[in-house]
Amino acid sequence: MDQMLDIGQILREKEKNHHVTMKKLELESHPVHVIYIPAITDTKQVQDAILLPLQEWKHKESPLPHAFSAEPLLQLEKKNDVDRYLLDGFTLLIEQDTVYAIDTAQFAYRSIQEPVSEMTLRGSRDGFIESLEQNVALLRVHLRSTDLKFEEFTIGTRSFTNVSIAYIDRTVNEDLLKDVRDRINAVQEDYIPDGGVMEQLIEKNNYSLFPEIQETERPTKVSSALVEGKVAIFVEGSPSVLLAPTTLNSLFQQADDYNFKWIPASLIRLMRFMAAFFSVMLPSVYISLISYHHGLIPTDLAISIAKTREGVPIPSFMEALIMQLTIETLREAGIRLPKPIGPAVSIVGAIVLGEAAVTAGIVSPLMVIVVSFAAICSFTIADYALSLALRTISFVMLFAAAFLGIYGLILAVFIVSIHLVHLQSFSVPYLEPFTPFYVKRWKDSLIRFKLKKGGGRIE
Amino acid sequence: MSDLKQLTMLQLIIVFISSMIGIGIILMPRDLANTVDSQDLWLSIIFGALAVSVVSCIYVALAVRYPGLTFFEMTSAIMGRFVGFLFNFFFVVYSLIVAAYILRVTGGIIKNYLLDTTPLYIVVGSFMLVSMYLIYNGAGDIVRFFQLYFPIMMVMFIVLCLLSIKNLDFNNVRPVFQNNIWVTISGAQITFFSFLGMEFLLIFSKLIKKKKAKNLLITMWTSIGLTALIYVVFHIISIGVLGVEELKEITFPTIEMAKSIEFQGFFFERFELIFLFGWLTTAFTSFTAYMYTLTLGLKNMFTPTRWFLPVAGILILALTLYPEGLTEVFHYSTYIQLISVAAIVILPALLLIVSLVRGNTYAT
Repeated sequence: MDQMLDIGQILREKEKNHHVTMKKLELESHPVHVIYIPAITDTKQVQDAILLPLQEWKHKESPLPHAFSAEPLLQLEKKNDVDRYLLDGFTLLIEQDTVYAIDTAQFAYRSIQEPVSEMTLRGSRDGFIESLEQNVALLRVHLRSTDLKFEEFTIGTRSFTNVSIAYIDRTVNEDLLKDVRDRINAVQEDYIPDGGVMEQLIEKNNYSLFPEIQETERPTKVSSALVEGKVAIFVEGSPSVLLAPTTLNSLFQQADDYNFKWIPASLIRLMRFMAAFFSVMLPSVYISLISYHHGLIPTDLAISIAKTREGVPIPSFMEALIMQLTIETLREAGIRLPKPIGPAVSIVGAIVLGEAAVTAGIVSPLMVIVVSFAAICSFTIADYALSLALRTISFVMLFAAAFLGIYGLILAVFIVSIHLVHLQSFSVPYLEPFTPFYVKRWKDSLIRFKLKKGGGRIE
Repeated sequence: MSDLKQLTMLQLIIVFISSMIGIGIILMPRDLANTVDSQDLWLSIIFGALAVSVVSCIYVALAVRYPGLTFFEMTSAIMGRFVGFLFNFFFVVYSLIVAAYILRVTGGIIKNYLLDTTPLYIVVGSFMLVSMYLIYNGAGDIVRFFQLYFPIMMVMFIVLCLLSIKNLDFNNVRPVFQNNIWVTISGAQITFFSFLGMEFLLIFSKLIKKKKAKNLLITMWTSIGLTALIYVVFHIISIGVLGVEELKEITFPTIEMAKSIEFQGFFFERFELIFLFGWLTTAFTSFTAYMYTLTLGLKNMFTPTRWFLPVAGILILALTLYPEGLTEVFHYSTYIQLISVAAIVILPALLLIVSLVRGNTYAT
């Protein structure tokens, strides 16, 4: 696509397009064409900073590029660049055979709001928006360092998408940086609508359930990741910023863990790990106990379980499967519904459906307890991609438990761990502080040990 | 393949302990009780450990003389192609037999305690398939997997030990040192085989290139010592809980011991599940190590292809399903022990002697 500039062709092309405004200004010796797209341009700025100065300079010899010393004036050399800058909201100035571009962009964006998908009690409430420029500015607010570096990429063949990577110089690993650059440059795609699509295009393990790249909408989360030496990938038009590399451990970390005192914060984090474990294992352990290993349940409990299961016509595996599917359906419905109707669904689902199913004798009350507790546990997983992975695995566990009981479950756990052990995110092992052992980093893994004070500075 | 290049000492210790503790911890108490027949039987473990420590010197000497070479490459380097091939063949047969033995006993225990009506081939087949998945990912991942499960395994064993203290009857353990010392020492010929696994120094050698002899010796002796400690603790608890007379009769004394734990007021009153999970992990790690050896050996003897993993699987499965019942399996254990001694003591010793006589090392 790197054709040489053909001014005549550009002018002809733009004239046909109704969304593009083209003005012709007659200067002393030659005409200057001013081209911009009004919808994404600050027209007042075009008027004040381009058209007015041009008219004042009318009588001088060749006013461009001297006329706009306060504005950065870029000289474009490729046909591709012309389209790209125009679509980025730049105003093009064509004088004879040269094309200049001035930044006059003004896109319509929503204002900065608190991210809906990541809730915290304490800490900053700002979230990224759809503007790359604003997001970069937002990051600069939180991370004021001259070492914070950005690199720009433009990808996409049909629609140009600006992608920017951020890192902290001298903190980031050069190999990681090179890897990220290579993977972004290798992307060949017509259109990239969101960071989530970008994530799938640059990750290596496409058959893995687990997210290789973490996504967040919180600037504070990005800045602390950058300080740790990670790379952030901003995608134009998407509020989700990608963080690479990602480990399982980092997916469980929440901003609140650091904003509260370390002992309760550690306990909560430990609870979160256990909740994740329960959300995957609880229903399957339950069905394997009641369908294979009654002997392992204490006698009293076994009797009461047997009582509640009395009259339930379907095997416990089917019962669990139906319940799990119902919960997943409710969850999906809750996400898709408009906000005011959302709670109604959960009430209908939880109370009416659950209660009625038990009364009708289709499912046992204990199964309702087990499955709904597992569902509640899964809500503690903040990262939605991880939650999806674990929910999928919990279904696999159900089948394993139905097939081979506890033994099948243990084997299934082995399989998942073998996969996790093998998984790498940008050459970093996914289970990083646990295997391989990095004892020093354990203090921010299952628990969050107290923060270091003073930062090593001499008083 | 994995990017793991060089194992640390800790990782090596984990590999050794994970491969050594396997079915031994389940079967040894009964065999030992039948041979030694005294509450002193745990002393035999210490003698066994000492014997193994001596043998481990051979491995260290070989590993230092031929750094980075696996056993299968060493044999042809020292003995020449033909004799080397025979050695390799023997070692492959040994790993095949041990892997099948582990698998069979594991399958038997699973059938006995968890899934009594499931056909054996499904139990052992699924176990082996999971192991094959791990082996397919490469040696580095095997080590990482061992490392991941090592703390979990240890915590489970410690929990089990703490819980069974309540049931411990010290009158069963006392008096100590009453038995004829020679009988106790002779028990070492049984305990010796529970330390099988240190030969993996010569298997994972691609990952242990730059280690000094002293470090390797310390690593090996630490792992043997720790394994012996775990065995001794378990035996003392088993004797204390069940008594020597009962140990002789029960097929799987350690599991019965775990079963006897009762802890009222907790959701699970039964703790054999915890033990079974911990133990299944150790069985899995030992089995994986042997199956990896088998695959590696096959790849070394013939032209390496990807098909050796399924071939190894079919071989193991065929051998595992061959015996009729566990009694028949135990019947073979004497032969298995003979083959083991030949494979892990005599072969390396021969290699070392020839290597010393010829005076060639990998460097020259």
